[in-house]
Amino acid sequence: MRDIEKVIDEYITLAIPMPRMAAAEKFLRGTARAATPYIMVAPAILTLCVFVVYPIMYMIWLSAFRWDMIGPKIYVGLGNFIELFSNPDFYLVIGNTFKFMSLSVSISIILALFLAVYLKANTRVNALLQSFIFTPYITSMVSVAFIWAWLMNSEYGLLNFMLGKAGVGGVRWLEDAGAAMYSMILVAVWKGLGYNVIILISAMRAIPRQLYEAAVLDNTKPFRTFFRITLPMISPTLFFLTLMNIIAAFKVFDQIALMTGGGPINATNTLVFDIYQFGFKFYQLGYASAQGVVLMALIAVCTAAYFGALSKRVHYGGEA
Amino acid sequence: MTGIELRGVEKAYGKNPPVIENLDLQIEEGSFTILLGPSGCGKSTILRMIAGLERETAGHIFINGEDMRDVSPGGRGIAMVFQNYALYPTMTVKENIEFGLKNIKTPKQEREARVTEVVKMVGLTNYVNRKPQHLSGGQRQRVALARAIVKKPKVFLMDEPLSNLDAKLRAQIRTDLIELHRNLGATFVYVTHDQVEAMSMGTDIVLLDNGRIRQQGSPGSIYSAPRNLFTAQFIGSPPMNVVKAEDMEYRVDHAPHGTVSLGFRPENAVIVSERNPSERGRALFRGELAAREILGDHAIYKFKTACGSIRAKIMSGSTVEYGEWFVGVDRKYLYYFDEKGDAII
Ligand SMILES: Nc1ncnc2c1ncn2[C@@H]1O[C@H](COP(=O)(O)OP(=O)(O)OP(=O)(O)O)[C@@H](O)[C@H]1O
Ligand SMILES: [Mg+2]
Repeated sequence: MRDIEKVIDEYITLAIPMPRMAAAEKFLRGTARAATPYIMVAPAILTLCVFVVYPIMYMIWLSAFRWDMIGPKIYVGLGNFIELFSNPDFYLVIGNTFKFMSLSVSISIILALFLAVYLKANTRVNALLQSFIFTPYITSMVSVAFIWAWLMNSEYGLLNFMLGKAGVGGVRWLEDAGAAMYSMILVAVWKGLGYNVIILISAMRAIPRQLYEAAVLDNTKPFRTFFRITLPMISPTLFFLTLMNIIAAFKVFDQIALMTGGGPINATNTLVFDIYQFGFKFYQLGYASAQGVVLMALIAVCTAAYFGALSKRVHYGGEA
Repeated sequence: MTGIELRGVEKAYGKNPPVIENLDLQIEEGSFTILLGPSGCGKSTILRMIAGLERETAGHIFINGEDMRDVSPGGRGIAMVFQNYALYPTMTVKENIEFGLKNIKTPKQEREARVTEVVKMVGLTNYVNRKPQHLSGGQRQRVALARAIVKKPKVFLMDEPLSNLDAKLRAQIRTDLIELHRNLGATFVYVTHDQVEAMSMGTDIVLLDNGRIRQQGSPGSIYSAPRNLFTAQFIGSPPMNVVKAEDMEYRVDHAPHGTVSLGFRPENAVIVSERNPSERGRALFRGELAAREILGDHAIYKFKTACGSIRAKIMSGSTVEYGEWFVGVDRKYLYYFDEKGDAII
């Protein structure tokens, strides 16, 4: 840090001629020195403002209007929010979103932990299995949705065909209001699992081997080794990964749009999909914006709660 | 009964050629045995096989007469101190020390008592609730020791436990380890490539080279009666001077038959200004003083001679000026080696 300051200082000294340092020059020099870091981060900040801060502000502003994209904007104050919170469908959508988020994230993370423990050993078979498991993650959601929609088709899908062979009755995976959400969770877990596994494996591989040797010498059982050594050692990664999963799950959209369109009877309708429908199908942009504001608040509150609950239990700091 | 015995042990990593072949080694119960040798000679491998962290590809390892082949590392009655300590970073000092005891379900009361005692022994009483990352290198070292001591093992295995410490701390912990060994009466097996550590702490030194034992014995015998050139040149600081007999300007007429090279320790050399032809029974070298290191109580001089460079370690006296000198060695300090490098007695 100090070095950088020194370099900047020298640079400024060179840039500003200083035969005799008048007070004004001194002032200029001080100002330039103070301003340098801000000038340097300005491009990044500017980009952030244009593409992130402005849209958010615009969304919040828009949530106070009724607007169909063509006609004039009509100011309604908190009208959109009142309408939102008195709509029973909205609560259904929120519930769906939480159900999707909590189940898909917890299943995916726990499954990924298991798989990572078994796949972390550096063997050829494991390398192959890792790439298998990673493939869905890099496959486009459109293909994934298409494949799973076919697999889950209740009449000629492979899943029901196999269930039939096994003597079990078929499931109406995507048409049954009770099953559809679980089908969505299944697909989401299947698609995102590989990423979680890879990240967890790399975190586990970074744990010094000596720790496990010390544990063996200390007569530690495998189960306890996992909970007392592996898990605490990967806690920073696990913490961050789970958070990213949560935020991504809150924002689920393409999968819903492609596979169920929020149906049947709103059973898989989640917040972002609902926003899309109100905004770009029903052209109620003010109402959709109000939903967006709620989504943003939800994510913020959940993230804060997550941090509050768990960040103290994360082990930061190097090995010793 | 021996403490630890290795019989015909071989170790190969994967498909590589074996790094240790047909090794026989006896480590006496209660000894402070040092495995000494240059980097890569297989010291750690031997230690890790004794610990059970590495499986021997052939042969048998016995601890207290018991074959260890199917005994897990935790069941061998040993404790190990790693070079980088391998403390559990997420646990406090206390948790680190008691972890092994908890695993074998030691009753809480006994556990507490043992931990308290050990913590006191290594002087960490005020640090029990700290995480290792908030400790200095020396303190971490002590935690690692405490973690081993608390298990009351019959055998302590240590793999270069001092190499991450500065010289002063190293010297201090060396004495601590000697005391510890005397107090506990356990067998210590200690790996190092530092001969000072080996000589100062060991009761028994096993000198290794390329996976083979070159000599085993007390520090005194290894120093004064090296059985081969390797031992002669590995032990001592600076190491023994070795010259080819045929290169010598002034022949030694009393060398035994078959002598190919001669050796003498720098500390046994004297520096004289002229050659005294009447003086017999002394090996003599003419050389140019090339470098001198004045080290307080002694000085080390390096001479360029007809048979290579020669070092002399002079305990005190006035500083020798740069120029031409003679280096003399009394015949009783000479070692003779044959063409295979074995000592001729
Ligand atoms: N896991 C391993 N896989 C392959 N070869 C290994 C492995 N561990 C050690 N070796 C090889 O075995 C030989 C002995 O290694 P070892 O670690 O026992 O040496 P060392 O005497 O402890 O050396 P140092 O003083 O550098 O620690 C070396 O040639 C090394 O390359
Ligand atoms: Mg080693």
